[in-house]
Amino acid sequence: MKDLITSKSFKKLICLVLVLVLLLIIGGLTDNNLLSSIVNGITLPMAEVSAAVSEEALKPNYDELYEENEALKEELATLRTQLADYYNVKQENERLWRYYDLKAENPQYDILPATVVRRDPNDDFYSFTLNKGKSDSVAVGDPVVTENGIIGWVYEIDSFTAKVKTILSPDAKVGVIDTVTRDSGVVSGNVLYADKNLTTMTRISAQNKLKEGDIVTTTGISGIYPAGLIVGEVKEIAFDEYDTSMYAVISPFEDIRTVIDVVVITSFDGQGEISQGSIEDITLSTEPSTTIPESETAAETEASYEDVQTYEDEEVYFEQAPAEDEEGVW
Amino acid sequence: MVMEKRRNFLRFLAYSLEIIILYILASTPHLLPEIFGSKPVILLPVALSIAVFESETVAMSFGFVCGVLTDVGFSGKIGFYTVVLTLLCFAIGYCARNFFVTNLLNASIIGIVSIAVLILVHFWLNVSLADIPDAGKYFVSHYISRIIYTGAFFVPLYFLSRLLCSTMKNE
Repeated sequence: MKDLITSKSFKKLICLVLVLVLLLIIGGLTDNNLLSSIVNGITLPMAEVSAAVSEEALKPNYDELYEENEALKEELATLRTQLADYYNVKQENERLWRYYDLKAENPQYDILPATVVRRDPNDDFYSFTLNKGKSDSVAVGDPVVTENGIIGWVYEIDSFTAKVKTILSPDAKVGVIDTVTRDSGVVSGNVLYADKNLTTMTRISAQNKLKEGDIVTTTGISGIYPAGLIVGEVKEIAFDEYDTSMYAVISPFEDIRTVIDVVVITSFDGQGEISQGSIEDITLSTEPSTTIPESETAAETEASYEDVQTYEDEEVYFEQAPAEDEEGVW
Repeated sequence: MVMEKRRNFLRFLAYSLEIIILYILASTPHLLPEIFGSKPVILLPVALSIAVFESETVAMSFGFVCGVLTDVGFSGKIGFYTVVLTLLCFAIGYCARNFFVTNLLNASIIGIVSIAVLILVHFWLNVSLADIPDAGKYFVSHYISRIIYTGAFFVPLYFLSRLLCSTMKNE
């Protein structure tokens, strides 16, 4: 042991360790390890070369790349299909959520979401065909609406499709009432306005108090349309240049010319029944909303079909058959 | 004398090349496979296998070089392995010359035990004392496999060092 301690090599070891410890202390204090920097400087080029060689060696060859490419193509095709499905489902979900409110407010409605699949290019009043038909319990005369109000009614059906006429058509005869002034009339399309997505409210009293911005809704009296469906707002009040009668131009809240997603109301309380009661029962709201609860509308007005009845200085008009060639349906 | 110096020079050059090549192999990404999340510390068995055949001064020198390179490879800063490997190689070199016969069994026991102790001390200093959470799990999942993986390199490196030593020392 004594030989070891006095040996030359031991002294070298002590010197080396002391130098090392000194370097470590200096490096720790100054945060600048000189020896590490030197070694790193020498070994870095070697490390870079070896890393580059390793990277090159690990690169996939042509066959591997080809296989990977094929697998990725397949995956891409699958993902594309899934993406298309996702967008379809998302769109359908959005559409159904829109109609959920309508159903929630009117639980008595049986509603059936439908999509416009065809538009008749020869029809100036924007009638269209839906992708639902008899097999989906759609019937002639069923109202067609969106969350923004009434669009039209089904006038012809087959097993899988239904044709719809819009309220822009002169064939439309929808009994309506002003929610503010309680003036009533009949909404019917007009060739002059259909192109502008406007319809007209005719048969209004000369003493009417209609004003621009009023919202008109269906009366629901004759059982063709549910009561309280929004038709649109009064845009203008004008005189017919031929018979000097007054009419109001109604602007629907939905652009009927371009609508795609709609709802068919296949059943509702009072469908096909001519209601009896007083127009005074109508509770009107100035707030635009999708519908006014049926219990609060003129559901009990005593009336007769296609009649005009004066009731406490108010003329009340009732909905009329949408098309003359559908006798027996109404 | 000149021949002896020349042989020594060639031997040290061969050791140096061995160290450099193995250092490059150890530090090249993706070259040596990981076993249970750990890679071997190849320069430990290199230094120890040289130390069992050489004098304490030479063993200390190569221990120092291997320690520096190991530290640089680990953390980029010289520290634990440099100091400890320098001391350990000196001790092994001294013992191999004075206290035991250098054969495979003795060398393997000394080498593998030294490797295990070095890695355990490294764990104690860097993980246990650093209060790293779940240190036990870390030890089981990484350090045990590292000890075994590194120790497995000792035997082939022992034979390599013996070959270099026998061809260039006793000629």
